[in-house]
Amino acid sequence: MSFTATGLNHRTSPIELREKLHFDAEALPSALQHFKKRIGGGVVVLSTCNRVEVYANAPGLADEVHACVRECMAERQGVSPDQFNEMLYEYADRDAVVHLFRVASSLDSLVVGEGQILGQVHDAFLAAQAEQATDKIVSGAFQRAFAVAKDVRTNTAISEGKVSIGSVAVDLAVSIFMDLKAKTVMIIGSGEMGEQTLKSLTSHGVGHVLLVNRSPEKARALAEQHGGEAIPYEQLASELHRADIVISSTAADEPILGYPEFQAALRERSQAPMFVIDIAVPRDIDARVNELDNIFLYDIDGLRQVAEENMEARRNEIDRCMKIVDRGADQFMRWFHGLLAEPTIVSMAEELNTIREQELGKTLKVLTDLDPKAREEIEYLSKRIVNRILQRPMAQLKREVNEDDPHNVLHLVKRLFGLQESK
Amino acid sequence: MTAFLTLDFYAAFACYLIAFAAVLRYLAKAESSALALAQWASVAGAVLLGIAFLARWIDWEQFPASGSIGLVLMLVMLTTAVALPVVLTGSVRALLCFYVPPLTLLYALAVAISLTRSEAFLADPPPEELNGTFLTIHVGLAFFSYALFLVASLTSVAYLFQARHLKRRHVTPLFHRLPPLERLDRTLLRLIAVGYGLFGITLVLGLIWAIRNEELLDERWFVSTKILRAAAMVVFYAIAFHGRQIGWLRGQKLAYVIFIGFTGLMLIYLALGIANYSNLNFLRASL
Repeated sequence: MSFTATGLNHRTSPIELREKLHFDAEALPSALQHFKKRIGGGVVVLSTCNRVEVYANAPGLADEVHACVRECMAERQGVSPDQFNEMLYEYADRDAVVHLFRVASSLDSLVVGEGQILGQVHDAFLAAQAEQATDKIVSGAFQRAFAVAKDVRTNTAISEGKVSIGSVAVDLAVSIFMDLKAKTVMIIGSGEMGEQTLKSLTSHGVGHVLLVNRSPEKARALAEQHGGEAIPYEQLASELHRADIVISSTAADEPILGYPEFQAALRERSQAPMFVIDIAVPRDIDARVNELDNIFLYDIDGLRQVAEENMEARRNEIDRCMKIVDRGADQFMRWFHGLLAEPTIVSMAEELNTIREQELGKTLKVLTDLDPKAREEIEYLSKRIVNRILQRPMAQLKREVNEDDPHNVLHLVKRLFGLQESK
Repeated sequence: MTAFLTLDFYAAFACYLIAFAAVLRYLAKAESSALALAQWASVAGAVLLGIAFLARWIDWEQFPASGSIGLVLMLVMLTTAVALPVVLTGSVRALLCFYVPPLTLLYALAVAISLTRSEAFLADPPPEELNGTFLTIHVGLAFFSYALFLVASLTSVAYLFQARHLKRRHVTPLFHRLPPLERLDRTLLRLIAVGYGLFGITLVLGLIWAIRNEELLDERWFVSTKILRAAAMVVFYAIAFHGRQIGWLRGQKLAYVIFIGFTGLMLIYLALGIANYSNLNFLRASL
């Protein structure tokens, strides 16, 4: 019995190949049935834009399972194995479990710590369950993966802080304001990044949008597009106090807003805080504005710096996350090996009981003058002896499968006791 | 009773030390479970202190805080009681990083006083003349106001921490887990508003008591250090509160004023205490 992970991801393969091997929602049920039939065990297929992976628990050696998965992938997606064989990674037993836990915890993601992957792993597991493609081992591995991922997210800073410019702006706005719904954002100019940032903010529910543009027509068009209010460029300074968040991305050669304008705006707003995002190059807003109390000015470098710091902080957390992953993998492997040893333990008990019954039968045949109570006592005695004999090897076997190669240990025990195939 | 109180005193201190260690662990490892431990440990510490004060209240039948240790620990217990709803309302346990260490240090100060002066925890009741429901309410309200002011002061440190990080474009795990600046600003306003109101009532009650019991007081009680200190405090919080209301003090400015003002007033209090001038010209010499 082997638990395996076979697949490729954004690091090992180009997007063109991942597109060819991707299983969409419609194709997934039949693919799961195909894999299950061919592999002969439990299976989950995880197919996202960054990875295509098959997790399986099947009888036989890991190499055989990997080969089977490769063939199935090629057959299902009509891609020659030669095209992707070299890009595949293949993990077995503990390595496969660690890989699954790393994936679910977003340690193997393109953007480390992103939250989407856990949902995708969950969906993949539910899809496999719906097709009755999972078994006890695969279900156990995925349930443990969810617990490990939760532990990682809760007890480390791996998912804290955003790492894209737009989301950093939203993150910072949330660090300043309690409720974005009650806030007004002013966008000056019509730069692409400015619009993207505005979209990020409006998707988080910013209440009111003011649009300022040198061209009144463009301002009106943008106001219609974003459901906001167009402000004539000439009124920019006098309307500045209405904005809690200012995004500026004009093509002006020199600053369009300076210290006095923001000072006046703050006075008008009773010193309520303002978040100012200057994405223009050259900058639209005088850098000295950041010296004003209750104004937080970020230019493109400032946003990038925060994004990089967040990314760096996430990278620094990886070692701690891996400790949680390793601990989870150890717990899972103990359970897994316990399950592996179970059939052998049952066989051992059956074998000894067969011997006991045979020998008991012979003895009772000779001792014909025994009363029923004495016969019962002898039978009970024989059972107790067998149980006592089995007690120590069974406990030792459970320990050994966790400390050594379980397949070797079980093979040796089977040979020692002359056991046949596991029942 | 003394053995029970001593045991309770050290058990509560152990709880605050555990909370402090958990906060340090959180700052080093960013583990949420450490903050949960800090929260429960500080709750346990405050409850243990509460049990001790309750036992003494029943025993003495008057306000249970006496001596410098009792007064410091009354402040620790009430500050914890004020801080926890602030933390729980916004689900912002990270604020404990600002609340727990100073409270533990205050507790350590009480332990140090106890060890160096061989002074037992809540050993002697206050003078009989200072007994009575009226004075109990006056002192209780005063302590509750101090607790509100202390939490406001610690919240202002959290505000300054957050604002400084935003200004410098530098983020840390603690930054991500603290509440938004706007929430901290509102919390500050509420704390000083309630504290200022209660302290005002405290002063009025104190004044009524003083007029009724003039025979207990020094002839110049109205210019005693105690009254001048209280007057300075109420004037300071009046400026802070009304300054915030009209937008003159807001955000960083308010946080700086609250923190520096409270620290300054506490230092004056401490200096007067060390010089034995806390109650100068207040009570009659016979008391």
